[in-house]
Amino acid sequence: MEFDFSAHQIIGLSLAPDFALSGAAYAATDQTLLVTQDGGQTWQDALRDLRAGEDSPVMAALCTRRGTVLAGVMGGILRSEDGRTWQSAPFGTPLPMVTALAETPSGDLLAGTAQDGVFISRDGGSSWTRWNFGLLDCHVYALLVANATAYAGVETGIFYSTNNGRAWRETDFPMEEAPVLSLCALGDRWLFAGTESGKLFRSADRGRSWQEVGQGVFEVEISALAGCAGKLYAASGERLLVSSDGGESWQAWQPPRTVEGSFLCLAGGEEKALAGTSGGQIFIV
Amino acid sequence: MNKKKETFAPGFGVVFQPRTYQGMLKGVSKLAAAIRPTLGPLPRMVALTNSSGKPEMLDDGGLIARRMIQLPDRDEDIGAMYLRHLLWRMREDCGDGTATTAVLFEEIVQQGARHLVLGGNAMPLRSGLEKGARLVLAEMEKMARPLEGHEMVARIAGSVCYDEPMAKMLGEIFDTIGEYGHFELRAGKGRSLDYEYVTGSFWEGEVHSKQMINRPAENRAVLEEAGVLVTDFMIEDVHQLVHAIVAAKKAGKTALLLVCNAINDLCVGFLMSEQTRNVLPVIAVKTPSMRFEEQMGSMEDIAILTGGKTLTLHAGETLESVTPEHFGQARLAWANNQHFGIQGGQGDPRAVRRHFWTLKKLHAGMENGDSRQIVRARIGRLMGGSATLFTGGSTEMEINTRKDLAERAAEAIRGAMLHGVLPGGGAAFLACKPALKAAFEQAVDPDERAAYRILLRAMETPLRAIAANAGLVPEEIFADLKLAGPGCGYDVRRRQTFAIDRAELIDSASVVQAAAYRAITGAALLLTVDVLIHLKKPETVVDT
Repeated sequence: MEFDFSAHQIIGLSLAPDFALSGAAYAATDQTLLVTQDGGQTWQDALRDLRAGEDSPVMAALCTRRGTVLAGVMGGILRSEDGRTWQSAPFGTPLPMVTALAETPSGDLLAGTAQDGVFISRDGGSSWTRWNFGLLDCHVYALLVANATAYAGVETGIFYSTNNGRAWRETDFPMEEAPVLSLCALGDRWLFAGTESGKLFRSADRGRSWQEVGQGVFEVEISALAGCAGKLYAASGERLLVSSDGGESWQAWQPPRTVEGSFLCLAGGEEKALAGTSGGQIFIV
Repeated sequence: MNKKKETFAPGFGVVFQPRTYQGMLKGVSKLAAAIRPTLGPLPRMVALTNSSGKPEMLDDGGLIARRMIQLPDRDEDIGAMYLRHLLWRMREDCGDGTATTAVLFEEIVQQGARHLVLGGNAMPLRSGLEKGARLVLAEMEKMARPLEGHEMVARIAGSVCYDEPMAKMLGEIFDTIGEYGHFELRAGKGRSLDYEYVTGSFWEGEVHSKQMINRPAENRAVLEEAGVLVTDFMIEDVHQLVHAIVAAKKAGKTALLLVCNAINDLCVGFLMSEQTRNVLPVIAVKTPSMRFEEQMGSMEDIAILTGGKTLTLHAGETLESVTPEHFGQARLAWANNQHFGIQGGQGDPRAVRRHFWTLKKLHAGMENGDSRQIVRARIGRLMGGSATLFTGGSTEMEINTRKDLAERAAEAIRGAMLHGVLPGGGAAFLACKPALKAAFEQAVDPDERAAYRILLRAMETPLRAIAANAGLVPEEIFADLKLAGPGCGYDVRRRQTFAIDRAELIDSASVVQAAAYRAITGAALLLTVDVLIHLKKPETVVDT
């Protein structure tokens, strides 16, 4: 069953850490932040009071382990402890566009931006500092935290950090295959990276080296990846594909109704995943 | 007119064996004995008198060697000065490891001389020692493990500076900025230590006019979304400047950071006129560095980071040569009375990374020295940030001592980050013994066998010295190690053995390897000296 919000583009999705129990999840759209409390059956505008009818594009969303909700907007972060009242945490000028959010094992928060690299918050998102030590490429499109390591998918490849984003190091991801638009982990074993050129890469050594898998499967960019119940989901254009063997072979997921636009984002939980489209649909997978 | 004249009388001051060895060994032993107390985690101090009459308290082997400029006996002096030079080079290149080098060197020279006096041949012995040195390096290479995490970095810093707060700070700093990171040391205002990070890249080069400082409270000039033009020009012609301003506007720039060696008052006046500022706010800053090579390097770095092209005098260019391609772009540019910097350079990230790899390769292939430091600083500036450690203290001497310690610790950390770490406390040397023993058993040539035997004994020397400095009896420690079995070292602070593959006590692999290699090969060369010739001491003659 899907929610139809056809005027919106669903750009990002984030499940609450207790999604399986509470059914809480957030969807970033080009107009606002949506929230569901029933596992994605129904959605409401989480910023209704704040934006007073004006569009407030949200590029990324994150629900932290402590339950704080973060929405990445132009030039900063909107932050809420209860999902109703919001505080603004600006990054300072010139305003960067937030593209991705992640939480490190230590509770530090990372915000990737399209122009200014990574910003870091050590106080739950109230204040943010630009922090790009070792990040030679500041065009960040994706962030992932897995196995106590943070990864940044950027214009020229992938960087990793083993100290909660304090310093970044290069991986040997082939630069000619970048930009990297999506990252995800499948258990402790594999990491996956999807590129703008429609290639999928896999790493079995915590991101230090990468090999292409699923060759020829994807025709256009892989805009999102998610792991759920041991399966890997990949959003590529109008298709959502699923693999049960670590990306070696793929099958197309059959949507219950026609997909409007293309799949832009995914979020994987323990049992269910959500998929958002540019046509304002959010599918429960 | 007075002038110094060196003279040499034939036959004067020529020294043959056995006086050659006797003299040189005494000199080596004197210097090594002066440095030996500083080795290990529980070192002792060495007090030196200087011209001011105040004793200088030192625990740095390199500095002690540096202060010993001459021994009264000229035979001894040759041995001591040879070792002094070796130690100072060690300190300059690695920041640490001088005491280890000294004790190893002395042991090898003593044992080697004994072998030669009993009829050994110096050249095969040297060759055997050099083979042994390569074997030791290979064994250490196998033992080395990567340096990861701020705690391990702090341990390496601690093994050099023995100052826990400083080691902890350096641990965090280098875990953040990495092995090539841009790191500065400055005198602090208070008594304690402090540190700060600066994000983005910055260079030495002040703003050309204080009028350009547009944030007086911060004493900084700041431009957002600034174009960047990098030159080594001395700008004196307003017409040429007008051409550059027009070109910048045509290239769509809304503000400009102009990097140039100098700009005259007339041109500054033009830039600061309200009319010009309304068209294009400009900050003019000094091109970094006075040295040509360094300046060209910095200009290239700025141009690549911002996506522009440099304009240089030696290419015959002027401001009238400016085209839109010359302008780079940065999210933010700033300048103050000493430095200028950029954040978010809009250069092609692929070009930036390729440039980073090129510089890393260049750095790896360079010998230690100024040029290598310059390349490392250039790499550091590309890394997106830098750190400054402020060393406080009650007196200037204390501040300088702590700065010096921090500098040495930083060098050791960089080496450890690049080449890994080895078990500390002399354990890495002990762990080379099985390989040396195997080589000894296979060797046939008596001089080569002697070389391995000398090295087998020398590998124990660092731990012996560390134990003695800690007030322990070395023989008891070696008995404990024998009981613990192979693959163990001894921690004199905890007074217990440890397994070297899980060692918390660590040393920088590059420092330990350099100490071993330089001590062995240096001693091997000294042992080939058979004759000393002393020039007559310089005398002052009156030239009428």
